Amino acid sequence: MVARKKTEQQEQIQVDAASKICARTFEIISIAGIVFLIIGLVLYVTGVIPPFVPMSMMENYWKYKPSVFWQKVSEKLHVTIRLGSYLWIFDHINHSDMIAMIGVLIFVVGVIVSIIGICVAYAIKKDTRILIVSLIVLAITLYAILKYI
Amino acid sequence: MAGEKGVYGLIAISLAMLFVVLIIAAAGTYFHVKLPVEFWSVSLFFLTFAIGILAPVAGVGGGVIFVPVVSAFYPFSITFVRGAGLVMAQVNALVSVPKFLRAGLASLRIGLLAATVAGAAAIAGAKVGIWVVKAFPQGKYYIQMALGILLLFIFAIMVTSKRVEFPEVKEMDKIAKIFNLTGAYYEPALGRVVEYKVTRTGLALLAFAGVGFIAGMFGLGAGWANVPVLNLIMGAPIKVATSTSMLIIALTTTPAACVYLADGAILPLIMIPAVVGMFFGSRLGAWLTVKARPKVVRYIFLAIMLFAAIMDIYRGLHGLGYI
Repeated sequence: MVARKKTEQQEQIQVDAASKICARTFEIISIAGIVFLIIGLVLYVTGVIPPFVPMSMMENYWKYKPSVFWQKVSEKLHVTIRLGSYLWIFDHINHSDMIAMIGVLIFVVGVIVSIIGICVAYAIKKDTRILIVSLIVLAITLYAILKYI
Repeated sequence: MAGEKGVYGLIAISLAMLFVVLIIAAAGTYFHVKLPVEFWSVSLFFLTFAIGILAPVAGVGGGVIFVPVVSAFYPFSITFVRGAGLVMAQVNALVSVPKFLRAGLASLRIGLLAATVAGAAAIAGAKVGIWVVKAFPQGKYYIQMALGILLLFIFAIMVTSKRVEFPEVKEMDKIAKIFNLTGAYYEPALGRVVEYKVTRTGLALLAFAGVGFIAGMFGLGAGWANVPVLNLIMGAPIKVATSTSMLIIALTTTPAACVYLADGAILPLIMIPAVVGMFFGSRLGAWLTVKARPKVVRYIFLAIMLFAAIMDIYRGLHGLGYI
């Protein structure tokens, strides 16, 4: 009886379409991103695919700030590392550590997809005020991601 | 009884794991004991696994422990630690938000409104944080010292701030009315649906801008600051405040993470074990929180936080040549 009352009351709670879209996309991107991170970690640890930066090199340089760290890695490995964009990841994507970084990109891109879904849901509902707010959040997030392409 | 013993046994094992890892890490960082390079990654996994288990039990977020503790006890550049901390906070939020949204606990409308100012401020914070380290030869020490001071401030907030389960909001302010910042969720403790509304939205948005800046600059999720803003300033019920805070973190850490990612400030060997450890640990922690919430774990965590703050200030002052 109590359980039925609880279920009935929970059903009264109206979760709008935008919240449902946000929840579903967050679920998908978190699982997809974590899978990439774990695959990258396994490949890194097992050595099936060699990492871009060998572990032994890490130990000597990780105390330095990123710009110095990558400069030293670049000198040691005789490669170009294009910092300031995501290119430094894609340039070396055939390495296990960079494959793992795809997981982080999935988190970032997935949040944008989620916000686009939210905007569409509010547009369909003609909820103009919150739609404008959603578009501002989308613009800020897009600015951050597109700036470094 | 056996179940209860198991719960407390797990808490004791997690605490032991935390202390063992930190003692060995401190031996490597401060006393230059030669440790195998694999130790650092493996230990990060166990450290964040233990933090993930204990943080929900202690009622604190994982990032607020991770960044200060790792920057104090590990030999990594603080920028790499902040980068890993941001991704960790983002993953934690992405994983927990769906169930909060479906239960009506997280308010998408409040979350979006907060994210407009907090997101832009987080980008600015991330840029300033990276610029300070780049522009000043001793920039990382300034950041480390500032992190220690911030941690002392967070410690004071956590020790002194009160939480209000169901704040009474008599009238919504203009902004809250315009955006219809209301909601409802089922509260099992009361056995009924709780309807809520919020107020003082303008003041709260100002506070969110400050919180977003700090979150971006130091690589923290900043749930410790979002929750009081939502609960004490806006008058959202505490469960709504904690859940909506996670939604804000999910939305605002993304732009900041882009800044760190493009600048090469996210190092896979540090970030992956930290994120994966926290991912699995927090699952166990969520289960454990339902079973037990001993106050002693909170006090131990607060003590660790205080110690990490002192160590961060010490390392900052030492690096700047004052000690």
